[in-house]
Amino acid sequence: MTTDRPRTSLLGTSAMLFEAPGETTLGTQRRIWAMAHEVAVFSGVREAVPGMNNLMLVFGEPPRRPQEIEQRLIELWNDTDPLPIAGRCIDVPVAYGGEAGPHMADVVEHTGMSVDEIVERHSAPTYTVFALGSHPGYCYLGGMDERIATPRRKVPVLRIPGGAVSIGGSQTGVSASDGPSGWNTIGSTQVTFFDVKRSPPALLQPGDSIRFKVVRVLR
Amino acid sequence: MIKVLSAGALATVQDLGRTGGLNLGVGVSGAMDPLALAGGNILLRNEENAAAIEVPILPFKVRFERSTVFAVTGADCAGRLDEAPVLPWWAHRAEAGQVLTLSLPNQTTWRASRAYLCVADGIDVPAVLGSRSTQLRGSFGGHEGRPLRDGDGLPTVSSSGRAVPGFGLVPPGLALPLEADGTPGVRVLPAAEYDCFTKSSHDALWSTAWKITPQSDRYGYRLAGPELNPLRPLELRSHGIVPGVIQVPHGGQPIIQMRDAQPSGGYPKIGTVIEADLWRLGQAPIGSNVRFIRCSWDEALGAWADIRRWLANARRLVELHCGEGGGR
Amino acid sequence: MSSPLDHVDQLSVWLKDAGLALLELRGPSATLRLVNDGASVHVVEGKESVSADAPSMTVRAPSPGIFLDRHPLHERAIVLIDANVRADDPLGFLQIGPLVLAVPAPRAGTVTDVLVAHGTIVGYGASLFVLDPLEGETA
Repeated sequence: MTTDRPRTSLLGTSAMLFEAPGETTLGTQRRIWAMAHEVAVFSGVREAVPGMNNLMLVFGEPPRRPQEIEQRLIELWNDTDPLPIAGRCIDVPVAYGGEAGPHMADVVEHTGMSVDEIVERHSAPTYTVFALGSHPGYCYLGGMDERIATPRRKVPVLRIPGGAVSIGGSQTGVSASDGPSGWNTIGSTQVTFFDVKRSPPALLQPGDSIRFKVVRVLR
Repeated sequence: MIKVLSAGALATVQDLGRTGGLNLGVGVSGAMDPLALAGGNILLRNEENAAAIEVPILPFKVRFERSTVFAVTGADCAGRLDEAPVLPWWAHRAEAGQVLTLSLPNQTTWRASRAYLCVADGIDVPAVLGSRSTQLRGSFGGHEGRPLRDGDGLPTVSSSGRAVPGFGLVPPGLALPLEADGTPGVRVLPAAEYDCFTKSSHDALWSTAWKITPQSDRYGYRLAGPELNPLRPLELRSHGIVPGVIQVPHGGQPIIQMRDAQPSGGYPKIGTVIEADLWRLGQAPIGSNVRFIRCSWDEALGAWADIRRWLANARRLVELHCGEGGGR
Repeated sequence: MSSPLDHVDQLSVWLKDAGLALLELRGPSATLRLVNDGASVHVVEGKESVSADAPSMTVRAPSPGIFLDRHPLHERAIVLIDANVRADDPLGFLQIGPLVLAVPAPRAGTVTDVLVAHGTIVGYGASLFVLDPLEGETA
């Protein structure tokens, strides 16, 4: 869902959400990154967490007047220049379809494309890491081909394995560990995206990018 | 050290949660009933954030390997230390070798489901990314990043000697009750997509006694009740979320995000249970009903102030009592 | 030098006026206890005995508070009349705000009476229980 103008909303008393207007773009995300730097030092803000063209503020204590913060966020959005981050790029080898991609059939059905077309369109772009979220080390990626967009599943799957490559709406990503997900799994990789013993523990950070390399395709 | 003799299932080490990890995709975790954990730590004169064992499924049995002052807060689990009854929400002394058994919760006076075994100076597992809470999804924190098993040994630090046995606290579940038409309630602020739902969904949200289904755990509570429908299908961009957010996936049955919830999501949000009432939800048993009570921002702030006041008052009186050399 | 014993009359008046049940003054060699039973104030000499073979004794509130005969989470009284208790067993509780204190048995015995109803506000020293020696022991 996109809007014409920036939007703010409450997440209970513990957080606030800012959503940028327009289609999801890297340009907008760069403004979100810039805002995150500014907002992180707002008094009462414990964390500023970028999402996909949006930003969550987590409060240490609930603010007395949230409207004032909402106002500041809108002003900041209008005044902030994009923060370009030139990150590194890594290759992620993926086995598509078959047991590694149990929901490939659903993507085929929704898009009307063949498995090969889906794999080709999925592995073509260089994806930018817009944000981390969902679970430790998980990267939200920008740049997926809209033609392979597939809605999230009606009922989330209770356990999909770490390394699962999946599509949810017009987004794609790689699960960093076993867990529940509402997305459609189309493939799998061996890359480790999070290791708490590493410093930093997450393999990637916002601004980095990845390319999916096709290892094999099971139709 | 504390030796786990019978772990039940899904018992985990928790403190008040992990902050600062959201940008790594690391959720907050922490006690499902943070007030029971804070209460236990106040009773034992611990730091507010000292770690304890959260016990959601009984029975549960441990042996104290050295003399320790402890308290069992949260649900009243008819505790026994060897054969002697253990009062809930009470500072007790266990001698080395004594066995603590927690049994099925007694829910006649307060319908609670999780017990917290708090010990003087806390469970001394290493802090990972700033917290001792178990991060189940990431398999780190707590005890080896997983639920406890029979035979596990949990480290306790050599006691500071501050804890004094022989007194207790009135559980906040009794001191701060909240109901709607006789059903336990939690207060909710409408969230971003509230206006995108039908009028009948709004009515259902506020008037339904929502059943907490068996598919409910530390990640989230899946509720059963009337279907909640958006005016038109919504696909959102992924964004940060917090425990308490009530998401409505395509099926129309709401899911409340709990402490192990992922820190981001994309399902439409109809509301958020306020932070001050999450402890109530954390104690709500599977199969029980819960009502959503609409509240204003100022009412939510008032609820938060009530919690802070309860904690401050409890700590003040405990310090006064122990400072005067009281207790026995 | 003035001794508290010279002022028993004045102290008794204060005790009655304040509605307190007990005044206890402890010195190195003696303890003066003034007990207000509602009708009159009288002096109890020395320390109340806690030996196992003493006759029937009154267990008093160790602090002001709301008297509870059961734990706040429990439905039944922690001790019933005619129950035998060991020294230090909790006989009841006193609630002070969120704090709950035990009223411990000063010695082993049989609880023969509970003098205050659950939920009553009591002052320091209020009589709460009557504790008799265990049966078969010297009265």
